[in-house]
Amino acid sequence: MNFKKNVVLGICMLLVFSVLAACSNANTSNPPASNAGGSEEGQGSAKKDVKLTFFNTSAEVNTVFEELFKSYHELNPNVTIELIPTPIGGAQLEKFQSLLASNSPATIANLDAGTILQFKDKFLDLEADKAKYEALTKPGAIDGALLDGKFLGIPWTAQGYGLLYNKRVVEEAIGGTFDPASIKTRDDLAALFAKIEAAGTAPVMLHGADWSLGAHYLGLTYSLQSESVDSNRAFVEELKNGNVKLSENPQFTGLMDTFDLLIKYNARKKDPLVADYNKDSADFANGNAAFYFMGDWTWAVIGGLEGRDQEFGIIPVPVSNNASDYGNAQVAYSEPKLLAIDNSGSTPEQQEAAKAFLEWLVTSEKGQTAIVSEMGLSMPYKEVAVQGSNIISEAVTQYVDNGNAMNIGVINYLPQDYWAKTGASMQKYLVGKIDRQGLVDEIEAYWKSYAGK
Amino acid sequence: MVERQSWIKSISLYLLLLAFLFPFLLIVMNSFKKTQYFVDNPLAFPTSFSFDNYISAFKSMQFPQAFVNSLLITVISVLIIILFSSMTGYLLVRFKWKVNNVLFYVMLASMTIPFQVIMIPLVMIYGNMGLLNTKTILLFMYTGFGIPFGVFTFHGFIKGVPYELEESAFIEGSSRFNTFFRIILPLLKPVIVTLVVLDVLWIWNDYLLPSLVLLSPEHRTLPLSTFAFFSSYSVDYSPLMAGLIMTIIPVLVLYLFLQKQIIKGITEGALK
Amino acid sequence: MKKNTLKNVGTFLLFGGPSTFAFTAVVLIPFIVGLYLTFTNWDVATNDGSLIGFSNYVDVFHDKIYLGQLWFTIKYVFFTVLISNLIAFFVALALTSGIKGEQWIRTGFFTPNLIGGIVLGYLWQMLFSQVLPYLGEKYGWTLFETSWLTSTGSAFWALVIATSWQLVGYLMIIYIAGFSGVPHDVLEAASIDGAKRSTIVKKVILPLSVPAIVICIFISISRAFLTYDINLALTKGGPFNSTELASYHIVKKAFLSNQYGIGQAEAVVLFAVVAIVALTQSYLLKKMEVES
Repeated sequence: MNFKKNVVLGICMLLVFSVLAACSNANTSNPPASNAGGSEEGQGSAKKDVKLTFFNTSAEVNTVFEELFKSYHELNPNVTIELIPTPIGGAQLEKFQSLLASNSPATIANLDAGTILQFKDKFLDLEADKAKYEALTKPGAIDGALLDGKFLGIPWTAQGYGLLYNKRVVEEAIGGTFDPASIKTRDDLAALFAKIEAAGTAPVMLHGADWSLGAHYLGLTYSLQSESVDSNRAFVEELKNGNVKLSENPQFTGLMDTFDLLIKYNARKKDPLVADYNKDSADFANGNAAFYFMGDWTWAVIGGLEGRDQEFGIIPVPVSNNASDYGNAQVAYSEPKLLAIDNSGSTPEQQEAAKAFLEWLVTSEKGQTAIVSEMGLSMPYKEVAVQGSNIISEAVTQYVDNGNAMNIGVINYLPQDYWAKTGASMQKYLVGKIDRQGLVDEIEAYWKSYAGK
Repeated sequence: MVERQSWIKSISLYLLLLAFLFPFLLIVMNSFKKTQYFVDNPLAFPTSFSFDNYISAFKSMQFPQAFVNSLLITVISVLIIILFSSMTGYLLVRFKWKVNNVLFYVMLASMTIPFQVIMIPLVMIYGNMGLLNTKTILLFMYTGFGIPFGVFTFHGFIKGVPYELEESAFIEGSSRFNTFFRIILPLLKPVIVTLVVLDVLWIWNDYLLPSLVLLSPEHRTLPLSTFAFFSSYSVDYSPLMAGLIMTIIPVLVLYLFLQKQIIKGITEGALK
Repeated sequence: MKKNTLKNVGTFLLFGGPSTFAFTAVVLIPFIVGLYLTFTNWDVATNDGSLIGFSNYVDVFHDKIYLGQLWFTIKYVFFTVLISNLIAFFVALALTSGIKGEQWIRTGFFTPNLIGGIVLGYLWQMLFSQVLPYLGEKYGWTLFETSWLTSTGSAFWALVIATSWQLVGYLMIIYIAGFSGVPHDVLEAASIDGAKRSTIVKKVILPLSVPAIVICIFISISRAFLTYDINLALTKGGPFNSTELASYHIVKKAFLSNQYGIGQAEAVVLFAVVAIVALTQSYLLKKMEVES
């Protein structure tokens, strides 16, 4: 028998089949995302039908967005918006890249600023709309959203983090009203912790997840260096080049000394890495811990709990014993997510429709209600008609309005894996697997691996 | 003596079973609680039986549509996989051509490919041909991914089927095609049933592939619809568990139904 | 002769054509493209790349973390395969010998498979980090007082247990199907006659169920090696990245650290390891089958 002939013939047949299959399929299927129009009803109305897709990485508000898309479709029947939700398990970058690779990018993407920067060539430059949004937003909001000087994403939410406190628990421990401004230094905090512990409550909840330790806690190191994002970026570059000795950096050592304090009074002392976000947040809200290193976003969990305490606030993480040092009075504040419009596979009609939708989202009453009351987020916009229920973010806003916000924009320029890698080192330090020197070595080694990149 | 031994065996079996079912009991129990009380104490019995979680899961998953999508995709792909892979398995057992051998080993080896190797090229190729976002292409992909395991399994079992069974059919003038469907396929019933169960489970529960291929909300399958219960840092357990139970029940029913077939196959000793 | 060849081609196309086509289009071609990408510096952001030879592979073998994780994965696979196959084999044996309520028990063992990997991981995560410590505290069981997921050693076993928990039911039904080749009276005798039982298992049942064993071990090896979902949901690679299985590391490398080429090359290396292990064991076992 002629085997070779069999094989050759088989391959030829396969090729023919595949061409046939490809052709027939290409005719019948809708190319995703990138098709504008295609209304079966043939309304022939003035406006062409537009289909937009929306890639969302703020997983907790997926359903609110879907409702908003429906409302918007009712107002603008020619625009349909489809949600591409965050993949389960948080593999956001994987999903985002697969969309790009398959040449079906989402028209609008709600992404971390850092991701937008990394894929900056794929997004539409919104320079033409910059002035408009500068007029709409609070001072500095647009500047904070610029990536390498370019306006690629529209800010829609702002977040702050630090040491949240449960007012009832703190006041019961000190036997009087608590003034958050009274904690100016690390020693102040230590004294307060001691009092709370003596009153029989765990002073602080330290969430042991790598994102909290790596991005939010250790991440302060890069923002504490100065008030200017540019010089903070320069500091990170020096880290990469190996020119920074962290063990001699007062911001880092100060921050870590406070970390030691948090470790000492940690409510999860027994098993510091257990890190159940629901449980930690609920325990804090129910008064099982007086402080909680977290941000205003945790309201999504706390807000709906039954039988929780009512009043909460926030103080900055004190980093030294000199009250006037930068960071002791400033709450870390950023616009973590930006709304960007695709420029790699979308039609001009889609881009225009996307712009119109985004403007509606942040300015209309419906959009603002959804963001502020349903998502429980605060908006960096001047005129927000809706009163939110998130009392933690209101506390953050007070710091911002008093000019006490720490701009942590430098994190937008860090490599995407910094929180996972350095977070792991922080976890080791937290459980005593490595000491301060070991931590310094690991963090410096991580940054050096990015030398020249 | 004999009595006692089988007692011990039964008891240890039941104990093991209990350990296996324990996580399940938790799911059922907690599907009636609010997430808050589940976080407080997952072991507490629900104080009242509320179906709120089921109702909210049903709504947020858009259950009917997702169910129909999952059903269509699963049933059709499994049928195609079983049909094609049994035929190919037969081909590879009965004809010892070199090309068949190569095909068999390539398929076998392909089962050990990490999906990550294929993922980006797959969406790249099909995306650039404009073929993504249809159920048809997902069916096709499941066929491609499911065939190696099917062929491998059928290959193993068809080897045990004596050739004499077919021979008499050939003498009567039956074509190979007819012989396969008349003589061989009925003998493979226990294997088919087993494979149906395994493939149904895989496709019914699969998340990654449909999430890459199906983009529009109207195509969402049941696993894709559970996204509403997951947020960036935590999981809304209670409705998730209610949704999970609703997702499981159809497959459980199918399994119970097919299990009788597996047992029948065994007692008939079809493959002696 | 010629007519024969044509007929053979016809037979091949009829019986093997559709399978081969789907398999080639969905698995083989993307795999080859994927392989090609490992020799380039292509990535999604630029969608552009040029050939760079073996440099990605050189990087893989310099990535000590990955090599460590590969070894960790091999240990994990070994225990998972061993435990799940042993339990599955004996459960399958017990459940084909006519115990009362056999069907229901089988269903019970099988139910874990009805849950998808990610949800399953979250379920066990809550079990290990909440339920067991709760019980441990209440009854003073030191074994469970802290979560198993917060130290490397116990997190390893947590992974093995969660994976085996699901795999047992899956393998069990393959073993049960495999026992359909064993005459029923033999199975019955094996379950009743206490004295001769082990002999019967060894001399009769084991050799007759070699095809099933080959399949089961092959499946469990490849599934365990490629574990991703459970790893992601159960330990997230933690504590401090010490329980990252190979697949998980690859995904992080390719998409989080944005080194797609290296991640892809690591995946190819993983493929080579799995293929060698899995194929060698089937070959060895098949030889046993022929000899016995």
